[in-house]
Amino acid sequence: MMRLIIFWTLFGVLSIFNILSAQDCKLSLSGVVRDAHTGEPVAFADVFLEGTAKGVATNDQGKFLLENVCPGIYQLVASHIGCEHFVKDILLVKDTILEILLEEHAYEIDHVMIHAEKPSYTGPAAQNQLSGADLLSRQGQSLAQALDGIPGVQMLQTGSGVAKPIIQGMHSNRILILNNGIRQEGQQWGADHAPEIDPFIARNITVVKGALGVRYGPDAIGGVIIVEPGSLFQQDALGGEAILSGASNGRAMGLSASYTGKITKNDTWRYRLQGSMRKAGNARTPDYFLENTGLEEYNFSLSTSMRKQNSGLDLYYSLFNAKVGIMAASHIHNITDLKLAIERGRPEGDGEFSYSIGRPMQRVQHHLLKASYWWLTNNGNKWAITSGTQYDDRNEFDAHRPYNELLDNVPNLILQMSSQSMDFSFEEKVKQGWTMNAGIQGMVQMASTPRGRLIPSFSSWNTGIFITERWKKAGLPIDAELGLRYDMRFVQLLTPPRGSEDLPSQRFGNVSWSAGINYRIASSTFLQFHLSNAWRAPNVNESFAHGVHHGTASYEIGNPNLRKEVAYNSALVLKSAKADSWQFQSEWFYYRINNYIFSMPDTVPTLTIRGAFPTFRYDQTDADLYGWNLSAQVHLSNGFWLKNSTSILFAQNRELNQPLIWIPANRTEMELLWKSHSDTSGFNIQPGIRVQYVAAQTRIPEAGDYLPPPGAYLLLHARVSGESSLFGRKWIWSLQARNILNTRYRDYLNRLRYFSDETGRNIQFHIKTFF
Amino acid sequence: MNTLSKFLFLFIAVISLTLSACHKYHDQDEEELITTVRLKFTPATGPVLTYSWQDLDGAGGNAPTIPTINLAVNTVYSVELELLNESETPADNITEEIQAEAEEHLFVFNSTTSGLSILITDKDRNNNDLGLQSTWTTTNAVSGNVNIVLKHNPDKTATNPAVTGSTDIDVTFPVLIE
Repeated sequence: MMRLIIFWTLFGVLSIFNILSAQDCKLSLSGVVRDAHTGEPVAFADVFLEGTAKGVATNDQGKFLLENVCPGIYQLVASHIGCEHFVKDILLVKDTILEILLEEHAYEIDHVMIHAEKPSYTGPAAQNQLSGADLLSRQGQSLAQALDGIPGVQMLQTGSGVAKPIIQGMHSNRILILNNGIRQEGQQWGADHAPEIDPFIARNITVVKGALGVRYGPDAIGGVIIVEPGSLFQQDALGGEAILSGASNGRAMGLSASYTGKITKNDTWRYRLQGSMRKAGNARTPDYFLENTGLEEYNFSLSTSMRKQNSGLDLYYSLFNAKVGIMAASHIHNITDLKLAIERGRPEGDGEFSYSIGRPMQRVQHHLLKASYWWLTNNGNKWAITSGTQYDDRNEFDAHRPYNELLDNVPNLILQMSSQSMDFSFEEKVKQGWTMNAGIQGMVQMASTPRGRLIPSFSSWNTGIFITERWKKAGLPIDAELGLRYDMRFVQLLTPPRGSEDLPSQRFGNVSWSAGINYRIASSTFLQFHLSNAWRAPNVNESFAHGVHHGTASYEIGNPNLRKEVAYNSALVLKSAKADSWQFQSEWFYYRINNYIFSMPDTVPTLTIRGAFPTFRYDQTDADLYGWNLSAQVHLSNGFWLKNSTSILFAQNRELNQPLIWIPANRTEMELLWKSHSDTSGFNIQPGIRVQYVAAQTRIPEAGDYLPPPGAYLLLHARVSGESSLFGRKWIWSLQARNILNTRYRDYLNRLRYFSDETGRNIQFHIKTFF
Repeated sequence: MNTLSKFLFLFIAVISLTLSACHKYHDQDEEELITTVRLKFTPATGPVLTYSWQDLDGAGGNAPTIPTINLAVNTVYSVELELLNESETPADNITEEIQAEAEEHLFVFNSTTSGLSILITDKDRNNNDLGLQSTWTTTNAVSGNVNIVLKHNPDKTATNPAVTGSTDIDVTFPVLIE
């Protein structure tokens, strides 16, 4: 409060001063923009004073100078391509020198409060970032649940405990997750295989949309999710923080704590310990409990980093450890059971609350070990070497308990995968506006199926080589990027596929390219255009699966003749912001995907001793996907903001001339939010009320589903979040109510929809503090 | 980092470490498989007839072999049902496990054959039907199908227990009565 009084008093004084000496415009504002993460200067960041003609780009050393500025209060805007630009009030009364550290956390220098994002350069592709309080309010849930609601991002669910993110209609092997810079290698192919990542670990999650094969490698067709635990050397990294979260539905609890400390006196080495746990019981729809939908997660990570002027070393280990119940009523033994369940329309009993998890369930562990080292040479070039080791262990237990009691605790399906990757990269120092980035990446993988017959064991070798050039010249409103990459994948089966004695091998290769431009139309309005491609090799399940997939009551038959899938993508992004007035980002995108792999229902069911199962065979087609995403917010008045987020998507199978299956329905949501004046020293509160509308999916293929898509639904949510100082600590908190009206609804992308309603009202809270 | 915070942190770390201890399965036994539903028909007089619905390589792969059950008119058969895993030698008999958990299991017989009626004759400990033993009574010469479903955890007291619980076995035999 005090700060506010001083600010406005000064404002008053200055206004008078300004009027009296309007001609005295000789102040200078200068400084340097640095990456807080590495301390390196950020070249070609735009720094300007909103509403004036004063603006400049930083030079090679990250420095900027604005001269002949009149005294007054300005909105200082600093932006850097790939980052959300930031806007903040500054008070200019004398020649001022600033150091702007691009970082996701807030801190103070001189009179300036700067909020900014970490400059992880993502090129001219559409992106959304979650950090700070926004991320906090989404933690304590699965990764997909945390990302749901970002324009163009939805989730694919198997009950309430298993959720996968969908980016622009694509999921599983068509999106890529970077976990602390390492490609997440698990069992992404299964619709009921959620990503093995705990969002509690993240300080920053970025979703980049588009076919980004050049930058991120194979599988980055729909987009990339970047989960970053945050640098140990960022501005306010030292010390501890703890997060407590809870939810009424399922009586869920989450707890996360981390501590970052110094190892050496001169502070060149630091360490961080982080741990989290999550527990939930049976979720509840408005009318009944969903039996066996609890989950337990215990995760932790250890990391240590060394920073010197010209080099850095990071070591990181994380363990994800989850046990997830699958709603018993949704685990189907054959097509007759499925028909009976659909006719019933809801589980047999009303169920009751319990934390216990029985069959069917999944038990998943994921280990990640990362080591990376970077150094700057004397001529300013940056080299980096990164090694990633992962081990993924997935155990699935069918609802069908074995008759032999000795097998009771033995999973029906075990999928194990170990991956070792090694990346070398080189970033050249900026030369006349050009920055070159090049690298070589390699990965060896071994996957085995010790129990269960769905997919054979295999090993794979993957290599990629890429080069990108960025061009950005000081003073020009336009910058561009070009990239080229070649990847190769070799797969060798280690056990024969069903019905064969052979051990086939496959080899795939593809050239990827990208071209993008970023054009600054006005001081904080950008137009980005992007043409690119990405590809993926058919996954082993698509080529060689042969068996009953109990999670989906289907008999899947792979197709060993599948060819590589190649996506071509164009995207146009228009984004603009005016501090305290409005902000929007509008994204148009189009994909042509050649040899799009999908599973095609066969007319002949597969007869087994457990009855008949519908048969699905993997096939390929050419597909078109196109749509529009919008996020916008407008300041109405007196701190009231209206926010909108809209996603529209069309997806068509060109050969069959019918829509693709399992495509998210169009949706929009509107939120009325009140933001108090940001007074960081005192109390800060933000209440909001949100209406979410999801249309019915009317564009569906003729066959392949057991039930038509459910109808449209409208949900009402509310939240209040804020920051308070209490007991000498800073507390960040949020309280949210989801589905306040306890509306009964079903979602097209939840497999639970055949069997039960979606979960009902849920009150969630989050509290974060620092120690 | 005060004492409370330290304790909190240590607590989480220890819990995580303890609970994350690897689950290892050294048991490399093949998946439990039921390959065969065998029906043994004993008439009052005459030879015992045996018919087996077999899928020796499990789901998928080779199609199952399904014999036609050939019965005489106007005869009462006492039928014994067995479940086997014949992919192992010697064959594993799963019938005993069903018998041991009789309360959780129920065989449901659906006959579309007009000249055939089927009656379950054995009971579980709660005096509800089980179905490992049954009586098949034929009248006129006719052909049709008999569907046999093994239900797991059915509500045996429901009006139609066949629509409750989940399905462990679901096989259909063609039947010819002459």
